Amino acid sequence: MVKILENKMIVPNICTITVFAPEIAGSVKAGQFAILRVDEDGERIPLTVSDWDAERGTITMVYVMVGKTTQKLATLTTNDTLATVVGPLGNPMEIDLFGKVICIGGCYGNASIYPIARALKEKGNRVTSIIEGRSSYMLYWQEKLKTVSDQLIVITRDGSQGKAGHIGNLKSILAAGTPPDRVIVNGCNYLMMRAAQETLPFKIKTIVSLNTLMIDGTGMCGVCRVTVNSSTKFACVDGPHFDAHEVDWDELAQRRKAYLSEEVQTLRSSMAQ
Amino acid sequence: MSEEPKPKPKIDLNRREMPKQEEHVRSHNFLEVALGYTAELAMAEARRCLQCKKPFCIADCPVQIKIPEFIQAIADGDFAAGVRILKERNSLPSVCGRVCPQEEQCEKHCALTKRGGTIAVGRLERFLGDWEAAQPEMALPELSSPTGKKVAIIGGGPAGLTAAADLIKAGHQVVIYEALHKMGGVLYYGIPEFRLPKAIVDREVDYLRRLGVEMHTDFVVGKTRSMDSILEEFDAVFVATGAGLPWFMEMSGNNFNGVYSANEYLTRINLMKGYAYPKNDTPIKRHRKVAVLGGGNVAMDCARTALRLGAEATIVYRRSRTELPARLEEIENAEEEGVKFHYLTLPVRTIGDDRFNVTALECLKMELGEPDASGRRSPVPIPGSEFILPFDSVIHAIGNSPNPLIPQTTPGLTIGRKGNIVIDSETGKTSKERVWAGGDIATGAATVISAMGAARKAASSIHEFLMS
Amino acid sequence: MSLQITIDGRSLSVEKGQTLLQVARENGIDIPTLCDFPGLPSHGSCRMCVVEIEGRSNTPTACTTLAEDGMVVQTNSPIVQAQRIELLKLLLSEHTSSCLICTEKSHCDECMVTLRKAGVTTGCRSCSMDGACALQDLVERFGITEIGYPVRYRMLPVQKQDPFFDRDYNLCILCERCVRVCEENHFSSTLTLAGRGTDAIVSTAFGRTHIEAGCSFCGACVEVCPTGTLSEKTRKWDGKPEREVSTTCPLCSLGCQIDLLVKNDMVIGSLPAHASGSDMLCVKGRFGITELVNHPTRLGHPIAVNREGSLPVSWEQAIEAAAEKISSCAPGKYGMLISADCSNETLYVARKFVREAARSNHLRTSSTALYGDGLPVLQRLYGLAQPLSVLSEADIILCLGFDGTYAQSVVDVGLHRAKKHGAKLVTLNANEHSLSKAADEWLRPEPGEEADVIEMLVENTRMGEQQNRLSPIASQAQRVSDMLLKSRQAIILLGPAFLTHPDNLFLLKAVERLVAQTAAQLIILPDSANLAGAFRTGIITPATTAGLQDLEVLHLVGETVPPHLPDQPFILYQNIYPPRRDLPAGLILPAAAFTEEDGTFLDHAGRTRSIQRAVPAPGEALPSWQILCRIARKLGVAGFDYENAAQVRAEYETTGFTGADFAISVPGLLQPGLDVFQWVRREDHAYMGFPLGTLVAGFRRLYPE
Repeated sequence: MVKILENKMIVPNICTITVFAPEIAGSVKAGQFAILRVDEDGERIPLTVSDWDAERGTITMVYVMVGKTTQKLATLTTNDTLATVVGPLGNPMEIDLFGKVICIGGCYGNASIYPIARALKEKGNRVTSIIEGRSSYMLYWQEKLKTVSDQLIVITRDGSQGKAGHIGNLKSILAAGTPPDRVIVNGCNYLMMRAAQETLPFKIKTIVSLNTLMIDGTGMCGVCRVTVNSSTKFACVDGPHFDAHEVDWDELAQRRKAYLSEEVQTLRSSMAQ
Repeated sequence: MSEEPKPKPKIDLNRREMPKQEEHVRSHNFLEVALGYTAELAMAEARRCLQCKKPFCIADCPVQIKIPEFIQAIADGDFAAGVRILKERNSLPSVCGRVCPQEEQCEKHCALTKRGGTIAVGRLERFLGDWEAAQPEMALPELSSPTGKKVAIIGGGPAGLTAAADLIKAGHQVVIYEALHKMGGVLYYGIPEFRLPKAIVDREVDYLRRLGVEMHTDFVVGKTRSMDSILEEFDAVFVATGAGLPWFMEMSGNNFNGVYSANEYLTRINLMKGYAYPKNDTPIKRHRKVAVLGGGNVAMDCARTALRLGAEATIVYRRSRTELPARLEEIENAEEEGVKFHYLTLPVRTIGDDRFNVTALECLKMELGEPDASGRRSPVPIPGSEFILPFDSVIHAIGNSPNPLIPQTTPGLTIGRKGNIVIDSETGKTSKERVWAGGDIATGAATVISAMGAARKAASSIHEFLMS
Repeated sequence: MSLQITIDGRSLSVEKGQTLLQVARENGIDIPTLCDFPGLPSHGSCRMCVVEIEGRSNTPTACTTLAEDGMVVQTNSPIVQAQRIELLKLLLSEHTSSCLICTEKSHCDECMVTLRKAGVTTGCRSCSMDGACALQDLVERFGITEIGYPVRYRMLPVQKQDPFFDRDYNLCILCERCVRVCEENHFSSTLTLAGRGTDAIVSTAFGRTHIEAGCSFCGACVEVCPTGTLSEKTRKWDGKPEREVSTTCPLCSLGCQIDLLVKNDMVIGSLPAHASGSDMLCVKGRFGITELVNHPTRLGHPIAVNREGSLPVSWEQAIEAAAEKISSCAPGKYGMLISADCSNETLYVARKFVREAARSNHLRTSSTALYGDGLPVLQRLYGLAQPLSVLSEADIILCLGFDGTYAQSVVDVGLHRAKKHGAKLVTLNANEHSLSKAADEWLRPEPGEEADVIEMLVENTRMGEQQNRLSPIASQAQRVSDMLLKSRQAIILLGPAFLTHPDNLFLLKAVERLVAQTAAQLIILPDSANLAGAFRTGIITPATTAGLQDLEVLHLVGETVPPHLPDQPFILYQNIYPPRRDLPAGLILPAAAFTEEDGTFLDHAGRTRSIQRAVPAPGEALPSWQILCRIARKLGVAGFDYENAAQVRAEYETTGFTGADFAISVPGLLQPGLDVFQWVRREDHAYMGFPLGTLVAGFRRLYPE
């Protein structure tokens, strides 16, 4: 049983949860995730560890309410417990002195790029963080990101803050200054795929962190299969970070939908309660 | 009370059958298929044992159980004594009685085997395990006095649990680290409820807990904490992380929705209790026609599970029935329940629709050629014999590689070609100091009992090391 | 008197008292609106319908401006168009509008698989009203591509604590359709506008939950909401329906007409069928049906059950096994129990089946068991039953044992409407009920003494002025009697609680005399959907323990398995859900629900109401009458070759029935203290023997144990 220290919705439909997990807090690195289970009947879901405090023994994750488990999770409060929090799983993000790096986040990715940007910055890279949201009220952690970035660019669909538009604007950003040595993208498949399309003509190495279905997260079940550079990889143990230009995005999108009808059925019966 | 003087017993070749659920009933439920011996049946079966002076059965047992002795105890009606004898060597009798391939081990060279009346060692073992569990108090064995030494065991499957039992009995402090949220490893996530009820696994695990074994679930050594950090705290480490990396047949279409590894399929159902979806959250698709690729016990488990979820299940196997590596008992169970078999059939391609869902399997017909190195006649494809079988799900049950987490994250371990940890086969020692390994992580996927045998060897080597 | 006005250059002649919006609509001139809704009074809050009137400096709203002689109106001038666009942009700035103006919105459905399941709506793609939203329509109509004002999200917590629907006021545009429909059309004051200015919000008084605030969960507010603010819990992820099918709600005897919303061959919702004359539904028909017919436990395949377990079988095997059991069963050892929730077609075929195929006269129903001793009187009263529409003729309405708090809240609305038109409302109820406050007189006897009060009314109305006014209730009864005597047209409304009251024999006899005395019209509102059909078919023998003894085969059609069956008969179980208790031995035969078959019911006034097949039945389930026909044919009995429900109906309609066909005479059985099965309690609001609370999550909240 893992104790919840804080769990709250920070912007519409996006929540942060902080739990007491000292072992994970002591070993987690940027880009790794944890798997949690809300209760004994619950499923196992992977969430990126977006911040941690080794001294206090806490880890913080950001999740989006998109199904029964996350909606059940959102009903819990301080001092409630989770049946399982296991991690850190997956490989850490490759952190090195690349030079100029752009970190792009959307949705939960606004938070999951934070530790990556922090580690890159500590390594001495020039970090530009770009966060994308539908509207100003969907953006969060901007102050935190500013502290680990040389520049923070905001894009909103409705233009309510920063540039108006979407990730398609990346092209103009890339074309404007010195092209970056590396681009890192975290967020929904669509964001990651579109960003990859934008960086391809510039031949910039682009790393994405894939959010596939998972069960055990230790390489045992293989539900997280993705095709990268024409070969099958397990996102949990081979990833979750892959070269965006090598990922088979169509296959990934369809594999994400494998249980859509079951997920809706579960919601229908659980939300009627 | 036997009569005096004892007349020389007539040899009884009537091996007592174990009651089973009727096939048409059991193929629709997840309850255990075999119902176990009654005390009367067990005693009748035990009395048939010839009590050989040189018992071959023990020699063939990976954990060297004193088989004739516990059988005699059953024949005498002293079940408590039987349990004591059994548990000296095997801490998981209810499990082994169910899942060991006895016909390849203890029962293979039974003196009565040639005459067609093999003693049902496994069923008797299972009977004792279950008898003990039904008693109000499970007796705990004497533990040796504490040695003050600490052993970490990585992986809570059959090897880990066996080593834990031996080491705690020897007086060492034992801590098991398990990556999943349930102890038992393959016993929990892999073997289905109808073959090994999870309550039995829980019971055996609980027995170890009462012996004083400390257990941490949701703890991935190599990730949550490194092996070297564990070694700082413990005097010895036993790695038993199993064969947890599934293989897929090399063909196109493996990533369509509806294609599973046996591990995923069984884990969804056993560990995550997907059969209770939507009461439990982890979904399982209700497929109509399921193909299972492979012919081992795991393939049988998958096919019989699919059947119980309402699908038509078909085993697709490239050789013929005689080459099936699964236990005969499991093959017969599957056949009785209505699993279909496509022999001499080699899948070459999985076909899907534009929504990435499986629709069919393209196969080649095979014929048996000359025997290969393993003695099995190897199948040869018949050119131009391609044909298509409609399926909406394909399960790959062709085996697993050793789990890569420890090998990848632990410096100083020698790793074999197949990703296994290289060990000394007598002692279980690895190339890294104070680290032992055993079970599927060292050998690749094998049986529960061979993992337990390896664990016993390693435990005794660890004990020797700690006491020296 | 008619007036002449000009709209958009067209000269129109209009009635005095019409608004400009009405005139425009009648003449096919399209003025955009948001807060306007058919059947609701004009509100003028959204200001989408602003128009220019020659000679006026302002731009008034068409919905609140009466036509005046000589008016010259422009509905589409650049000025009003610009105003509408600015007003709409202002609304959008406080709505989750980014999807409306996103240039990549077409990619969303394909790529963002999780959106529809979002817990909180953050844009159109995650909104339950996507594709059916009034704002989306207007944005498209005006071609808006930017919002232009600072956006604001109020970050109000989504209200999910009530059953059936959630409320996300972050999406609300304050059109107040919900407040108005609740107040004006449903005579309820559950909703109100709270707060001022930018803090304004639709709310209950003191921000209580809807349950606490006395909401009847009729769902009218959800139906009129132009945005996704109010969303049905079970329908959030389904999007727009593909088609609608008109049918009849089978969850009580009112016979309300409903439109089933269908998508992917699945019922995703139900709304009042306005076109068929039903303007509202109660919680049962509005929110009960989707979960009921889509319940995960629905039976789809025949199952044979024996001591060792259960085994799926084919229909052929099942029918053969059923026929064999029935044919080998001794005469008189076969009995059928059938629910009055079944259609006329099934009731009729069942009756024929028992007589001709099973050669038995053992046909009973648990539905009448609820009416116990009072059944014969109820049957007589049924001859007088009038439809609900007579309420409008009344000047006094006496409601006996009626409570429309949730179920049958439609009747409550009718009573309020009658009161508004001048009728006096008198209620007789031992407990607090939906009309406690609205009633002009609430006769409130001690529980169990209801019949005494009716007797007083009978005596008083017979004798005229009475002297015995010792107790307060007696003097109250005297007042009510005076009202009844002076009335032009009295109506007596018999609610479900009195029909199944333990004392109902005396109650109903007293009602019978009172009706005769006062020449009142009578409305009877039983819970069973097709009680009138059962009466007409002569299926009235109540199920009793004694009546179920000594059976070899017990055939249950839409009934649950009775407890304590002494002789362990072989059970033919025909229903839409699996049995709630284990069958010892028998066959489980999957039946179609009312959404999956054609047929008819007789409503509370004996009028024929039809049901339509809207979706396929799950798996291989069949309409109940078809299952019976197949067994009969297997038994080699002629006359069961109907091709469709219409053929059954034709035969049913030309057949006369008497209850006496069945050997057991009804009154003889109904002795006081008889052991009557009551395994379905009236307050359970059951369908096919299953209490709605066991099938529909929200009902557990409304009717807690």
